[in-house]
Amino acid sequence: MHGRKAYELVKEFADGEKGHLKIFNLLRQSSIHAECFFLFIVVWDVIIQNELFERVIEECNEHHNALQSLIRKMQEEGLEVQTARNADHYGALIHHLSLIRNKRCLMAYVYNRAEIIRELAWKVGLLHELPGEIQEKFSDSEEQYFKDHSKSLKSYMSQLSLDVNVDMVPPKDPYIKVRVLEDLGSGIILSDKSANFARHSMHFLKRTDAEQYIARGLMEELTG
Amino acid sequence: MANYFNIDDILAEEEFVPVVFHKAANGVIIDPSSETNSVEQGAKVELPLWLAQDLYLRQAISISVPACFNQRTILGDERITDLNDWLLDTHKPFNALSSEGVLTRLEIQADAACVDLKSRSPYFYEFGCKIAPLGSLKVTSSRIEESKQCRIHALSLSLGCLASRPSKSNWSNKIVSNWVGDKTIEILLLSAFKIRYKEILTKAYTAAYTTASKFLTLLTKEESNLYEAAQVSMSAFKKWRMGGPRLQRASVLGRKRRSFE
Repeated sequence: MHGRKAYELVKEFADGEKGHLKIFNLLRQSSIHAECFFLFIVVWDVIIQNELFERVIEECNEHHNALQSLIRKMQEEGLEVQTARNADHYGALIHHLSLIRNKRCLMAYVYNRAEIIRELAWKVGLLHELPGEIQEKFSDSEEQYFKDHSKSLKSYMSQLSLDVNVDMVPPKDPYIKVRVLEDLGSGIILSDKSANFARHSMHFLKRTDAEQYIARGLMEELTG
Repeated sequence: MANYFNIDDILAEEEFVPVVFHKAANGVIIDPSSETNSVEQGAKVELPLWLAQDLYLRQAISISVPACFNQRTILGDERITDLNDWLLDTHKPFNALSSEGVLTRLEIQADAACVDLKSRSPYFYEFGCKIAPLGSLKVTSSRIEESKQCRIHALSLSLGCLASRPSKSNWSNKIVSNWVGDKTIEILLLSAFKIRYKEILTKAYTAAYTTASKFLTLLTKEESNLYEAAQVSMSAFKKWRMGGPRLQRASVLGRKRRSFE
């Protein structure tokens, strides 16, 4: 059925948890080359599942060819393609609409993933590498996009000399009490002091300094 | 094209509508009963809305009201003059397509909050909003007056005022046809949403998760979004009242601690 593959692709995105990424549904060239031939047959089933994106593009090509052949047929019959309303015209129209639909599905899939990636860049990626389990779900161009976006954000902030990524609600107290959840060592230099951030140690830090570590789950805020 | 990238909008347009082709089309595999790669004139098939919509605007097909909104047997069918008669008439042969439509409407009139709309269509409202205007394109000025009367009629039906309904007049049969153009879809959607909206919010604020999970399976996509929004706002309110840490680990990284801890 027309547009079914594209629908499956979008559906797969919609079924995922909000704000979380799934593996980009595209066959990765490198992963195939690494496989030996007999393994290749075993993983073939998996690969078939994971190349929806390319399948949709293939389908687009099929539609395109069918559309062109119908129009050629009309031209050969000496009909005016713009005005003739015969069965070939409506066949071509259906292919045309399917093409547009497929394009929309593909665009929406890429666009919505890019939105999540931008959000990731804001939330966690500005100063640190992303955790591997998220990064491996990116396609190659998405990985580049993530890096570029973080980079331009950083350069924008350094031009402004203002961190625009901090909490929007002004703090009641500029300092908060935090507990370190993972060993960070003493390598970290904060704006006003340096300390040994050993695991389970407690510190009194500027909120703006602590925020990024809390977001990454390396520290937690203590209240009361 | 404000919703071009909207995932839900795309999925809503994938819902199927029954159509009849007025024009033949070559080189497409749409009609499963056809042996050649073409659709013949007069072929009845189900198409996804995104395809049907454009073909309809080009007058290549006509669209019937999809089963989940269909109410032909309530108002349109001449054989049925009284709803109660119809309900009591157990010998009436059940047509699978129209009986589903009737049941949707009857159930919504009875208690909209308990109807399983999700199984009808997970995008019940969005789908309906896309279907409803398709008919109005053809409404001529002479029919507008009739459709107003029809609205009043449908309203009195939806309020359950079956007794006060006007005696059999021919307009009720004339106006509501099987084809799209049925203005009562809008009323159906609105009344269903109003009743269900209230119920969803009440449940979201009060019910415990275990009791709510059964209820959640009945909700369409739009409604479960509403439900989630209500729950988030409730928990935000609780958090504000109780106090607590403002800053938290980013939710994308998952809530679990690392395994070695």
